[in-house]
Amino acid sequence: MRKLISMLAIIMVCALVVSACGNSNKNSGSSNAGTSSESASASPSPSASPSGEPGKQVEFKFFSNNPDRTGGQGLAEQKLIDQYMSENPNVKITVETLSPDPQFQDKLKIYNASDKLPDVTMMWGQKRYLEPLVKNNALVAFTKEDFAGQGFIDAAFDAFTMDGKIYGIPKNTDFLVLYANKKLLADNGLELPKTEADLFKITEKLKSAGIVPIALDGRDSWPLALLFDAVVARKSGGFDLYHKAIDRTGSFNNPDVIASAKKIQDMVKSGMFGDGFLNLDYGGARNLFGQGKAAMYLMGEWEMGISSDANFPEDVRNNFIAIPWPASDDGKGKTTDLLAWFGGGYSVSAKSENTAEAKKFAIWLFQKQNWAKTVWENGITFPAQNYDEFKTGKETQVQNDLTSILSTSTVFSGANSQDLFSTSTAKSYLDAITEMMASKTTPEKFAEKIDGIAEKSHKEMNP
Amino acid sequence: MNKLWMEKRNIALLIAPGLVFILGLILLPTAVALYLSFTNYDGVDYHSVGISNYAEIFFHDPIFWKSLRNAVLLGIAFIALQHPLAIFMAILTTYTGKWERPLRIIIFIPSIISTFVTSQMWVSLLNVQFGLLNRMLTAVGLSSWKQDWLGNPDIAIYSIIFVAMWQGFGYAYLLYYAGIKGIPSELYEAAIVDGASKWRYNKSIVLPLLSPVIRINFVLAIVSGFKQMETVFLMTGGGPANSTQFLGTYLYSKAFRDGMFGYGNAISILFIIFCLVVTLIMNRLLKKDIGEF
Repeated sequence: MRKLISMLAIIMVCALVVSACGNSNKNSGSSNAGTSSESASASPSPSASPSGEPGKQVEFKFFSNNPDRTGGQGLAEQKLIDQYMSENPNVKITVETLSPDPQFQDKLKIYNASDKLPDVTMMWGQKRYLEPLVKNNALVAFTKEDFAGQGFIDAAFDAFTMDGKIYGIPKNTDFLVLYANKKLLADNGLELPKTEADLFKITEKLKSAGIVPIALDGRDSWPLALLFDAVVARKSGGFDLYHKAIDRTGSFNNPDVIASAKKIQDMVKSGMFGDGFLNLDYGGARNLFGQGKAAMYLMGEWEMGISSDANFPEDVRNNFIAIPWPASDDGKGKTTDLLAWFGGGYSVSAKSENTAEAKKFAIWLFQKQNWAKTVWENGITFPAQNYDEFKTGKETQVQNDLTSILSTSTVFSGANSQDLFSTSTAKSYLDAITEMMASKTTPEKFAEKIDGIAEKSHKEMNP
Repeated sequence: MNKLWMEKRNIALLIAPGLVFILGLILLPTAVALYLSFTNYDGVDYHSVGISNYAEIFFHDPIFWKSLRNAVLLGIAFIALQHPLAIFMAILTTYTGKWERPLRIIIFIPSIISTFVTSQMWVSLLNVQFGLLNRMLTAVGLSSWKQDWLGNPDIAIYSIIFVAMWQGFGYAYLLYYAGIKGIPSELYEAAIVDGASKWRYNKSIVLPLLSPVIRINFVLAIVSGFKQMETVFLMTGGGPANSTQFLGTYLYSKAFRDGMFGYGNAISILFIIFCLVVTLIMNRLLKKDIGEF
């Protein structure tokens, strides 16, 4: 009898274990990986509406890297999606979000490999993301006529164009500027820097006052590469140098690169970025400036929100302005040469049954009274379209500064250098720049090294 | 009842879940990693590239060797600095009378706080401009000693080693303390009756009897030096300029940041081999029978 009970107990335990396993398998099968989440938007359900509408019922997916649907670009996307659905009751758009970007990009690769690309997806205008999709014929091609009259900046489409066809719609204009605390500079008897030599003068003065001249996020290393681009551009008088070096019609092993590296090392040695900036992260650098401990801050236009960030003292926010990276001392590199790029945008899948509808939506999204107006009026970002007509007159000082920097620029860089490298070499390139800034290498060796990396990258991208 | 447990069939049935667990979650993934380490897997598709990943690591990847050197350095620091101190403290606390309990707790506290919290705390303490350490140095007139503790590629690794030793100290201490407490009191009494001093007692009786604990602790220390990941990841992320890269952080950045999973798998395979070899060597070196007590 006891033996029987024991046997029964064992069987029960085994059954429990096995069933628990089976159950968890089923769960993990149905749930999404990572922080991905799907949500149907709360709006008139097309299936509930009578079928009196012209056009068939369509449902398609919008894949976004903005999980926060109540602020920033996520808000702009959601507002417009909701508006489109109420104007077109036969269309239902489901939103899938995934963040941060590397995970998003990984999932995009997987979607592409299994031919299940979402109908409309966030896209980056870099060859290493775009090329595999284009090769797989996964993307719909647009023409410039699709967006005629919507005020797009001509160069914005370049990053999304391959073999003359447009595979993505650029959504933002990103550019590098130097934010400054006007009052902090004035209190120390200083004026805004006009040339790179001014930066060294400012550094000397501020250092004795215990203020960091320029807050710089050195831990992430990509801002260092932007700085490098800016300094090289001023030295060589344009952006051709790195473009040519990367497509191998030129070389990084160039006197201008060596001189720029030397200048950057001098900047570091003079204390321009403060002590310890190589381990200062994004939030740390932003705080340093926001709390009035740094006089300037090197970052992209997207930080214009500091002017309304309640975490920072009013004194800083009211004196918050933006200026272009100063000109070179010899006047060769001008402040109207702007390091600007069009990083993000949207693409439409060519392998779905709703391609035509999704394409229609994407074109609608970028009518100027939709995307451009929404992001500008809400102070979210700089659209890749002309937004003059949407100015409210209530723009902040910094919004106006940025506008004038952008509108007075005569030369645009297109891409920044790090975006042009292949996936596996981009990191080596950033590491090399960090090493150079830590003075672990000489300017000459640095130039040689990044030229080698560019060569490797070129080979990988053009096998 | 006994007969039930003796039957091979039943035994097999009972160890099956554990075996499936080990097979499915340790051996199988290792085998897959081994396979993928011979490919250029990028997360989507792959084709075989032979041993080129390994060739690249062995002949063209100075960062990998730097990571390995850092890991070994940390292991040596554990053994040469952290553990002698832990043994000393463990012996000392047994003589502190009513302070024994509170001391024990205080020493162990760093080990129960989440690594995330203690790492962030040290990042703040070591901050070059606002950190407590640099401020204190200024306050006592030693401002020339001020350093960029985590941002200077020459110093950052030592800061990391210090913090890692601080974090692991509680566990090392606790194991030694438990070992000492496990020594029967008769031995102590006999030694005192024979006229041994405390020094002599600790040197000739406690330390030899502690050697199995020391052995296991040394192996654990070396392996944890190899496995070091979260402290580095949170404090410097392997930077600046890869000066604090460890095997774990380097493997992560290759596989998940750069999307080179094949290469990352090759690193992880070498990682496993190093751990096994080191454990084997340590066991050989420290093998010594101490007899029963």
